[in-house]
Amino acid sequence: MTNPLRGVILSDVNLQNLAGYLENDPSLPAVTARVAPFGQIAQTILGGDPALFEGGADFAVLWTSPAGVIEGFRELMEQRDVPPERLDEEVDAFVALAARLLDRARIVFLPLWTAPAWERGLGLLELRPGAGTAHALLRMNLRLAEACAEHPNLHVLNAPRWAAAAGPDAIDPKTWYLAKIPFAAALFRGAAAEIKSALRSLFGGARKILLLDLDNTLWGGIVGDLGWENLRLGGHDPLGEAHVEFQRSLKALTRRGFLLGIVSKNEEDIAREAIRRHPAMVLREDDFAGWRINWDDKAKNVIELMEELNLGLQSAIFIDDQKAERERVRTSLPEVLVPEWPASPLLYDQALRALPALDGAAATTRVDESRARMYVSERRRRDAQKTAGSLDDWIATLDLQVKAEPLGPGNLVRAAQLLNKTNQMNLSTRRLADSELDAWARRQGNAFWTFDVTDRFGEYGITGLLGVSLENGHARIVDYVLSCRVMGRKVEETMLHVAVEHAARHRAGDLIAEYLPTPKNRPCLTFLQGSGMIYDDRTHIFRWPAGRDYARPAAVRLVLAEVTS
Amino acid sequence: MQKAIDAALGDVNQTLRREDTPLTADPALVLVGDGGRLDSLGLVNFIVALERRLAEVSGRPVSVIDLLMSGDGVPFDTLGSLRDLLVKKMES
Repeated sequence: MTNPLRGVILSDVNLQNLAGYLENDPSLPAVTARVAPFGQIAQTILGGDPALFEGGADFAVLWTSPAGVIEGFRELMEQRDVPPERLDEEVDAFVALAARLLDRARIVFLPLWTAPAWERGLGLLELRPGAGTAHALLRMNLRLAEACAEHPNLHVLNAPRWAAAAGPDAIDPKTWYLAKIPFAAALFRGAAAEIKSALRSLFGGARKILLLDLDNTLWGGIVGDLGWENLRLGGHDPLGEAHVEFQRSLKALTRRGFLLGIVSKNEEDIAREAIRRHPAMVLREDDFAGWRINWDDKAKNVIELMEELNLGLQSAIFIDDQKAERERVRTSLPEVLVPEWPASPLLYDQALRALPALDGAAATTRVDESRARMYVSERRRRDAQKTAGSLDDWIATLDLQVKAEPLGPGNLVRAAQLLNKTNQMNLSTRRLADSELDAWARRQGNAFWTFDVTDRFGEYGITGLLGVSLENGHARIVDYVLSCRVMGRKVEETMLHVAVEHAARHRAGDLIAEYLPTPKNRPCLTFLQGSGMIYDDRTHIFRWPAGRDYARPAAVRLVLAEVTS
Repeated sequence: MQKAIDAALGDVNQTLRREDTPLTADPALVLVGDGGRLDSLGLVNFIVALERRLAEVSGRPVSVIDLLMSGDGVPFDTLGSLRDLLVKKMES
């Protein structure tokens, strides 16, 4: 079991309850949370109790009341004149303070400031600049979000949404007076769920694929009975419109890097004809990374499809209108997320867009955006593989190009993402924030490359990482990471070739790699054992004499690039 | 009443820390005072949750919080004595 993530909560109010909700929320990752004494924000950030951050903090939550940290806002509440520019300056100063917290925690979350729904303020003047607190709060929140965007590891969270979802009593005066707790339980639960979701996005564990049923899910009716021409999809029909809207939202998810798959009990030819020919279909075959359309057990189909896509079951969300099918998959494959699904198709789109598990699909890099396209290319590759002979023959037909590029501003964000999310082909499973990785790569004697892979079917993007440290006459591989999407295509050997060349260029005696086992990184051991490197199974250290060439695979074209900005 | 108490205990258990043992609906469970399971924050959480749950169950607002503000200390110690107090309060 992985260790829980360690968090520290800082506030000007009593947030002990948030720590409880975070620790008790059953979703992964597990967390432990320490709470700084309330009202001690600056003291805690700038020094404070060292025990709070003992052992390092994976994340911090800095959740404040607007009047507690922005003096100008407090004065505005007292109906004093406060120029908007002063609020901006105070928000900037607050963000600068929050950024200092990054010295002590890898990630910092800042929930936006909220106001009680029952607060009427100045009525009509509430949104007038310089007058109403509602206007000031909007301005301050926007300023906060924009200022935080300059720091990759400061993340703003949408607290007003938690408050709206919690209802009119989200902010509770009773608990405030009794214990300086401003928020009701429902709001804390929403906050804990969203923080967990954000942690999954940042530390790995985010869902990547939606597995969808067809009949009465993607469209209304049973295609095998009605024929594609008579499905309820589009047209002047509330149900038809609702299904189209649902498909539009699914399509939008693919643009954010989320994958779609089909798991449906149907005749494949009939179902695919509907997908190809129905004029109101928003989703077409090229929107799906893969499918299992047959009469087999759905749990079995989910397993097979996920294996085909080289994804773990924990990456999947299963959506089906049939309760029995949901129960079947939920009970037999607990790793798969199976949300309860509304009985009425009119509510499908709402249910989809309210799924917290989709938070991780926010595209932050070019690779995220094109991930769905890559999986479709991958499906075409698999089709090509079926007609090729041996694996080597097939790889030779791919026209593989691997571009090795030193770490720089242009590839840092994606490199940190990959480092923190990859479990299987990962030598040491080292996790670092962007800034930590950048600092490591700049250190004397260290070198770090990203590997960008393309073939004739499309781009995989940055899928490999190599970190090498020169020490005591050795070149030591510190990070050796490869996305499962390109495993088994000679990229592994190409990366070792780059490492050996680097070692030889710096006159290291040998190249060494210490395998640090985890419950998930056995594929890395298996590859290295077959790589030709000398293996000491007592120490888990692999070795290659740097004076000896480690041949680049003939099927791979290697491009050594300069740092990009 | 018992339904509301059970639900409120469930609510307050969600705020307990990893090292704490969940509260159970045992009438002899000491809530406050010597050997009490709730600290001041836990007591507030429990009373606020109970007030909300009682309102849900009974369909009318029930103020439980004033039990904490009578000025003579907390007028119950166990879950059972709190229950008796509430029954009396709701009957009056």
